[in-house]
Amino acid sequence: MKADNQSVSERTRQLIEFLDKNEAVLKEIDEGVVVFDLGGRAAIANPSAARLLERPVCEIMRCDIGALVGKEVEVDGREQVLELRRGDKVLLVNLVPIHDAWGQRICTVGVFHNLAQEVELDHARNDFVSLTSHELRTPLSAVLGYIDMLKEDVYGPLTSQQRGAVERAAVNTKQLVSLINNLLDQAQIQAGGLTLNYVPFSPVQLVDSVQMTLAARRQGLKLTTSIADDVPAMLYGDFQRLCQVVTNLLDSIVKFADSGTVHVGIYKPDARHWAVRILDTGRGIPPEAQHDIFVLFRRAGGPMQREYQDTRLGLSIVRQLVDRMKGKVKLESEVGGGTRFTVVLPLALEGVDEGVSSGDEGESIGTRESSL
Amino acid sequence: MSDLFALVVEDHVDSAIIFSEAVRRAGFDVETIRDGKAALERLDAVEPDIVILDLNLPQVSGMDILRRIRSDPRLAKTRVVIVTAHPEMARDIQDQADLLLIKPVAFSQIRKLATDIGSLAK
Repeated sequence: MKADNQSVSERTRQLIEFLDKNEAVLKEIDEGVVVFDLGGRAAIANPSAARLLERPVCEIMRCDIGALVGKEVEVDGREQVLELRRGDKVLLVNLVPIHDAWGQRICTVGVFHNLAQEVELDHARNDFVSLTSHELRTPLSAVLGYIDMLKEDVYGPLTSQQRGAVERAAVNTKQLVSLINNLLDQAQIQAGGLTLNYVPFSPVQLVDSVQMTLAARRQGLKLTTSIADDVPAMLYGDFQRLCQVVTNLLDSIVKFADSGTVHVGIYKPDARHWAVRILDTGRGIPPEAQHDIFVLFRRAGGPMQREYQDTRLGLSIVRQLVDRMKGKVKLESEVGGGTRFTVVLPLALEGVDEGVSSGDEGESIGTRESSL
Repeated sequence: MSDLFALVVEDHVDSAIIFSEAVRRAGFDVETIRDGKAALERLDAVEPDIVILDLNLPQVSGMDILRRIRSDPRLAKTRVVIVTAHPEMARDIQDQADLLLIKPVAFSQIRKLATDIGSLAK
């Protein structure tokens, strides 16, 4: 065993020597890199590590791992991820054990990454989206205004062909408006600036409001509705946002379906929840397109189906809003067998554990059928 | 000659044209003003039944114009409709407005509400 240990420390020394010689590579890396020997003492540190940890390389070299990350860390064979706060900086630290060809650990490499950059970029992106979306509203408003004036014969009567063209312009502009609203919502949700405004409302109101929105926007789509007898006469929730959830789901289902008939039903799945179900009998969504359908930007994976891409923004907002309302949304669909979206929400806020987080988005959203 | 008078305060040319036309169709005489300072000066001389007010204006903001209207007993009957693309700007003063509309706003919506305000003013 002793001989074995000696050879391990020999190999550690060789690796450290090798890295030392190849310092130029480490110097250029933007991430902080610190190599710890088996005892957890720093053996190599690059200039980025010095910058991120705000202490010179020679000082880092005298530290052990605990002193650098500010807490007791047991260096063992496991890969560890730590979050380290230095003033207003947030560092993500990856501790990766390095093994030799015989599986023996010879050292641990700590990679220090500045998360503040990501956070800043995120903020910048959200600010940008929010700014441009607002700036887009004024010219869009003007386009819609002139379309309205043409439709109302302000500039004289239109031929039926002209009227048709104006109608198409109106439909497309309204799509643009809804896209911008979705982008704004997305930016607001991401920035954590979205607050829910809970009010009492009747399920009849919800159904009526959705019907009105739809009537104002689309011709030709037939909507049937139902409210189960055991649904309370008054519900509690963010009425505007609930309308948005249902309308976004309707928008998606309309894009998937050819049937032209959609049903919206409100019911009570159990004693503590109420639910909205939106279903059609159209062509359905193929399984490969259902995967990650509530996720705006999919992680690495197969190519996204172009056909369904434009509904992702709306659906990701649905998912995020429903999450905030402590509810669940799920999709069930079969090719040729129609599509069914179900949103289940708590009847009373008291029954909701405020402490429950919605979990890692990428993971929880990735599952197409959320547990109800 | 109509008895009803509307002031449209809006620096965006097309929005000003559209809002003015909508209010005119509702039976109002309309005057359009493109900047906040000119609007403030004009309000010393006229008593509009309705003011269609943009918030993001050059020189003097729509918020200041709204405050000016609300602090003048002579303009107690003036209805103020804010039309803005930046609803967050209106947060502090929206209670003082009669209505807050967020762009995009439909032509017919302005026409209808102006008609309603007109019938109340008569």
